[in-house]
Amino acid sequence: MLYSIYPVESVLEDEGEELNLIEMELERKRILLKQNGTFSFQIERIISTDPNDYMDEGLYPGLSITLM
Amino acid sequence: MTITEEKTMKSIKEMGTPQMPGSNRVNKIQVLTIVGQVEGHMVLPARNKTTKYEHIIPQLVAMEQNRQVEGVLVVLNTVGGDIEAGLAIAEMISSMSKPTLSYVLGGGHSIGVTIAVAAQYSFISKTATMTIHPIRLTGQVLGVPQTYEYLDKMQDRVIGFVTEHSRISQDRFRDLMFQTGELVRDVGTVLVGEDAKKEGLIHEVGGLSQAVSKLEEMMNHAL
Repeated sequence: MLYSIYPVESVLEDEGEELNLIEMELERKRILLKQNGTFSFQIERIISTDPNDYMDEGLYPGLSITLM
Repeated sequence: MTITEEKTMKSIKEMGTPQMPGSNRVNKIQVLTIVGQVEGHMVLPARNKTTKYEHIIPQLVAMEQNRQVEGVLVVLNTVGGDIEAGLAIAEMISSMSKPTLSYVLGGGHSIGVTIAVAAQYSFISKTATMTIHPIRLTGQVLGVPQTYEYLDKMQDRVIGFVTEHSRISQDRFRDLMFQTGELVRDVGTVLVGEDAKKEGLIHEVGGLSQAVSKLEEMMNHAL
């Protein structure tokens, strides 16, 4: 039984689409990427214990990048 | 990346903590982060951010057993979740022999309230909120008295735990839970920072440094 501020039906709602994220190292920093095209990716998350990595403008979540 | 760094990364990704309490060298303060939905017996759809009880419960056991761990800081930013899982985590925190401190950031709603009050001392940030509302049922509901009795029993478990572990009375907590006119098209109350303290749910309003200082003070007294 759920006790949450979100309506139970929206918590249990399944969009049916699974996010297939790719984990990789970029400039010695570990990131999670969502593939949008053959070479096009979007940064979803940074995995790091170094707070400076989160300040790196080139690694902001949501940023689109191209990898060959 | 070294093997240690790799392990740290994996730990953050899977358990939300850089250092598992079971490892040989740990900090004397262990941090337990409870965020998103508290996930219990049922795996929630992938769109939810969840904290899984099968990750939290073994960590709590390890924290209790590991002699290097002297204090536990529970950081909460949760929208609530599974009652059984939330109560299980809350019971475990409240029965630990080491100093425990909870810190509500952003939100500590619904079942998150029980986890927040389970610690020996609690902090809430100025802007954080705690929503107290009745338990709801969805799906096929049988219109029989037993349904309402069951719902009441579940609610009593939550109310009982919260009132036993905080300074709020049962009557006042029920009043807040069934308040009308506070939430839009809903029943309940939202307590913001200072309100949670005034109502006796939380001990103090403050930030991270104050929370850590208080935990250190509790740890020094426990020695």
